[in-house]
Order: sequence, then C-alpha cells, then structure tokens
Amino acid sequence: MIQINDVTKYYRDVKVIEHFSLEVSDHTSLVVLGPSGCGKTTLLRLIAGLEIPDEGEIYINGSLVSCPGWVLPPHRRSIGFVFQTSALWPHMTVSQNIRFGLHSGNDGRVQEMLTRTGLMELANRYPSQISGGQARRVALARALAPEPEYLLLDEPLTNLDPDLKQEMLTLIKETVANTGGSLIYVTHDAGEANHISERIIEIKIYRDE
Amino acid sequence: MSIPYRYQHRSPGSYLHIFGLLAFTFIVFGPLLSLVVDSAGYLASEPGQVIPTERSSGLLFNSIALAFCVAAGGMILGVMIASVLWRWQSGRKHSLRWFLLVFAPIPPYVHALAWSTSMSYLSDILVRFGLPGISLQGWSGSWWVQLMALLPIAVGLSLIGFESVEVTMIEAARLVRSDIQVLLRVILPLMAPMLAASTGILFLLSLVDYSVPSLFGLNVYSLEIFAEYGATNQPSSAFLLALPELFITLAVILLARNALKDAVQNQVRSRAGTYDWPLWFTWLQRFAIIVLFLQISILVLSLVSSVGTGKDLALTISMSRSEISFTFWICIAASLICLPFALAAAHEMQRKDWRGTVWWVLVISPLAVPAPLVGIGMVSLWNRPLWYELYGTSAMPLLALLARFTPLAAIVLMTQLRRIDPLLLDAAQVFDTHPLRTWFQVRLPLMTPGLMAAAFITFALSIGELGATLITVPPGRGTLTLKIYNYLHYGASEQVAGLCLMMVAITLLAGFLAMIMLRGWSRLMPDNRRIREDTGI
Repeated sequence: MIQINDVTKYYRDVKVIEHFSLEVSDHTSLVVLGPSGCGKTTLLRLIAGLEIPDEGEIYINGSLVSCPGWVLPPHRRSIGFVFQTSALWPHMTVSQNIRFGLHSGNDGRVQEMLTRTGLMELANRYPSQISGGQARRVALARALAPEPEYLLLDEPLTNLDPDLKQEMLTLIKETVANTGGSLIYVTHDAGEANHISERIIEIKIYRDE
Repeated sequence: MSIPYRYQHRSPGSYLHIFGLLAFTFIVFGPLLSLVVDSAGYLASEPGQVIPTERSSGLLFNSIALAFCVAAGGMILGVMIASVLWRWQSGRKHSLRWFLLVFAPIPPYVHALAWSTSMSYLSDILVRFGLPGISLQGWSGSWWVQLMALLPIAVGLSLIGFESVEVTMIEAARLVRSDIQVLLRVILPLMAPMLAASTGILFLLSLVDYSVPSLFGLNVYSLEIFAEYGATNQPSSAFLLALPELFITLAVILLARNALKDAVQNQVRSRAGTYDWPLWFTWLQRFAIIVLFLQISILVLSLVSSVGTGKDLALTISMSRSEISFTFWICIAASLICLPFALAAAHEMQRKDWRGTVWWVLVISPLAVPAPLVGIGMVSLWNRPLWYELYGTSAMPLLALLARFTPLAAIVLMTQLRRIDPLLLDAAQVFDTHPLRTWFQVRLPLMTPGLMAAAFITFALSIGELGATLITVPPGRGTLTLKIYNYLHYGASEQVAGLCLMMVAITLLAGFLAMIMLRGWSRLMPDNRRIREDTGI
C-alpha cells in the first residue's frame, strides 16, 4: 500500500502540491485526472523517490520511504515508471533497455516482455531505429520487466495518434492485469481516464486553499 | 514566388556582413596562409626540412605523452568534481560552481609561479624536520602544474557533459539500478562524446603550451618551434618543424568538432537529484574537491604571501606602469575590434545548411594552431613592403590577439545568438519600418549581453597571452605577460608575484563580468522547456 501523508512540495517559490494526502491499496488501479500544472507529475515523482517532499511523509508497505531531507533511493521501492517521453537510453538496444532493470541471466523475462509487447522483431534495434509508438511500447516493457509492485504512468500516450493510443491503452490494461500490480495513471485527458475507468477508482486531489 | 539570386536586393547590412567575414578570414587565417605560401618556396630549396629527425620525433612523442597524461588526469578530476557541483542546482552554490570557470583564463605560468613558491616553502619545512625536500621540476612538475592550470576548464566541460544528459534518461535508470550503476552505465556512456571531446581539448591545450615546461626545465615540441624561429629567424623553417604537431592538433579539434558543437548549441537539460553514492565514491569526490580547493587557494595564497608589503606592490606596479598601460590598451582594443568580425562569423555558423558546417570547422580550426606559430605567421604576413608602416608598431600585438581570440569570441556569440527566440525577430520584421531601426531597437539589445560576454572573455584571455605576443611586440614596448615571463626566468620574486596577483585580479574581474552578462541573459531569456521541467508542470 502507498500512503501519502500531508505532503507539500515547492519548486523554488512555487507551491506545486499542498497538504496532499492519498492512499493506494495493493492490486488497485487509479487515475489521477487533472489539468496541466496541478502537480500530477510531481505526485508521481514524489512516490518514485525522484523528488523529496518539503513537508509530510510517504510510506510504501508501511515503511517510511520519503520525508523532508531523506528519501529511500528509487531503485529500492519496487516501482516501475513510464515517462511522458519514452526516455529510452539511446546507446542501448531495445532488449538492452528492457534488460537493464533485471538481474543478470534473466533473459527469459526479456523474451517474455518482448513477446507480450510485440517487440520481438525489434529486439536488436536502437531507439533511433524505431517509431514513436514502438518506443512507447519499449518504455512500457522496460517498466514492467522487473515486476514492480507499483506501476506509475505519467501521461504515457501524449502525442500519439488515436489508433496508437487505443492500441497502447489495451496493451497497458492487459499487461497490468497479467502482472497483478498496482497502477497509478496520470492524465489530463478524460477520454483516456474513462477508457481505463472500468477497473479503476478515480480520485480527486484535495488541496487546502 | 522566389526571386532569382542575381536580382535580389542587397542591403547595406549585408555588405557589412560580407566585409566582416572577409576581415575575419584575413585576420585569422592570413598569418597561417602566408606561412603556407612562404614554406612552399622554402621547401623547394630545402626538401629535407619535412623529414623529422630522431630528436624531433622523440620530442614530439614526449610532448604527446605529457599532454595525454595531463588530459587524462584533468578529465578524471574534472568528472569527479563535476559530479559534486552538478548537484548544486540553486542558490549561492549554483552561482559558485560557474564562478569557478572564471579561473580558467589565468595563464599557466602564473600557476607555475604559485606552485613553485608553495612547494619551495613546503620543502623548507620538510628539510627543517630532517625529511627529504620536494622539488617541482621536469616532467612531474610540468604535469602537475598544467593539470592545475587546466582543471577549471576540465570541470566546466565535465559539468556541461553532465547537464547535457536528459533528466528522464537518468530517472528511468534510477528506478531500477543503484546510483553508481546509473552513473557508470547510463550517465557516463551518454556523456561519452562530450568527455572524449573535452579530453581532446585538454590534450590540445597542454600540447601547445610551452610556458610551463620551459619554466620547469622540460623541453617540449612547442618550445622547439619557438627556439627554431629564434635560432634561424626563418618563419618557413619554424612552420615546417611545426607541421607534425599542427596535424595532430588539427586532427584532435576536427574529431571533437561535433561534440563541441552539441555542447555549445544544446540548452542545459539535466537536473541532478539527491544521489546515494557508495562510500568509496564519496571519498574520491572529496579528494577531488580538496584538489580543487588547493588549486584555488595555493594560487591566491602563494601570490599574496610573496608580494611583500602594500608599499612593495605599489612600487612593482609603478615600475611596470608602461607595460600595464600598453597591455590594457591592446587588450581593450582587441576585445572591441574582434566583435563585428566575430559576429559576422557567428551568423554564418548558425546556418543549418552546409555553410554553417563549413564555418563551424573554419572557426574552431585556428584553436588548434600553437600560439608561437600565430606569432611567426604574423611576421610572415606583415613583414612585407606593403605593410612596412604597420609592421613593428603596436598594431602587431593587437593583430596577434585578434588572430588568436576572434574565433573564440565567435563561438561565444554563436551560443548566445542561438538563444534569441526567432519569433522576436519575426515580430520585428512585421513591424519593421527601417532596417536600422530593427537593428538598433531589437537585434542589438537582444545581442548585447552576448557581445559583452564575448568582449570580456576576449579581454581576459588577451591579458595572459604570451606565445604570439612574444614574437610580435615592437622594440621598446612590453606587455604585462612578457615582463612576468622575463622576471620568472630571472627570479625577481616580489615583483613577479605582485604582477601575477594583479593579472589574476584583472582576469577574475573580466571573467566575473562575463559570467554576470551570461547569467543576466539567462534571466532575460528564460528557457521555457527548462521552466517546465523545473516546476514539473
């Protein structure tokens, strides 16, 4: 379970998140829907340990992972993250990108993720040699390969055409259902949120005024 | 419908631009081209000149080995220090890390004096306690002092490398691997082209410097070029001797050209987080930071302690009044005169077609030419009947400074021109009533911080220039650097420390003003992408 307790975050002098609290139970999915600038990305970055809260604490499975001045390193949180841009490492092939988060000798898992995401033929290609839609699939496969307990998706379908969006939404739903982990999906697009909403709980961000 | 080229109207501005380009080409490449032409004739009469002797080959090999070790050491320390400074993202620490770069233009021979003085002092203490003394001489002395002199550049280039890595690339890796693995397997490989180019730049700067090796009793190839010219008074002979080194330096700069272009063109993208380094790495970082601290503190403290009293300093300055005044005039003139020519070249470098590539190569290539060769080229070009009125006057060291530093000013200007939002210029064209009005009311104000930064950087580098000035300065005249260099050989410690301290102060002031201009520019022209990343919006 992820527990966010009364978290506040500033960027320079801008208060991006203010006294925000949230609980995400295991094996659940939730969509955080909100307009640009409301702090959705910051929320995911706080959960992932990429940002330190200025106030409040974050707990994962009952253990404190973030508080002002201290964070548990991101790689010890069992979290998968799909960024707005694919963020594939250009000096690694598709399979190397997916393998990066795995322990050595776990080639079976790489093959499984390549098959599941339909990337088998692209395994030895570099990110510059694949299309934008394929890159998003690699990013998803990479995030899921280490079997994280929590998968965070930060507007993963931005700038994709409608057909690709549909294909990716189906893929996300299927793969997350197969892995059985929790999902936090951030978007500003109500259509995307509704597409996933059959199986998720929609939560509104509460802010003190 | 496009208008055929020959019917296109050329504005007065475009003629000025063409004049600027021609002047740039003549000032920067004239000396070298003149040497090439003269050497062709000389080579016909003395064909054996191009065959390297055993002595010159050995010397070149030793010089390359020294330069390689300086570059390797510099980059290792630079990366370690930059990995700490990279995390200083806001507040005073952020300003401080770029302030370190203002130490970069301080000439290497000033570092040589500072380290010699401090090592001699330390040696005295050790001997007093019955321990063996330390002698900073020969290869090891040259290596250490060159390393210290180039450290700010190494740190600056490494920092640019760190900041050029996309933040999401790092964060994606941090989710699954420890920070040290992320550094070794993602950050450093992504920085590799920049690191290789930076190593090349340090290698080149070390290879062409003869001031430090000559002070520590080490013969290097660049010194041999200068000695050859001094012994024969034949520019062609010195040029032919310089050819092997010139080929190497040109090859290095051309190999590094793409990474350098990326470094000066790209906006800063990366943002460091809070990293969890292993203990051994943290200790290495601490060691590197201590070296950086020593680099700065030894430089300042040893000069301050050697100056003597305030009266001594005043006397030293008063005794060197004519050199100080002459240096100021030629440096101020060089930093102002170079601007229109550098601006013309910078506009060409900005082009996205083949002309942009050609001008980029043309502008960076002179950086590979050893300073004495520029001076010798100046003699070859200007010592002709046509220029007799000019040759042997104070204009010669000024022209030498222009030949050396106009390309650097062009690079600084190009980086700043790229930051001007093209929409601002498009908007000016829409409301344009007169070309001059657009130029003075829109273009010039937008370019002003870049022009001022280029001027201050040229000034800071000109103050310490030695290699070309030594050859071109007219009889009866002297610059601050010449006086210091002569004093260093004769061992006038108080005077030389006083003059070095003054030079350090002037260089730091000019560098600091350049930084203020560049930072002021950043505030004026905020990068919207960076704002979005910083606020997470």
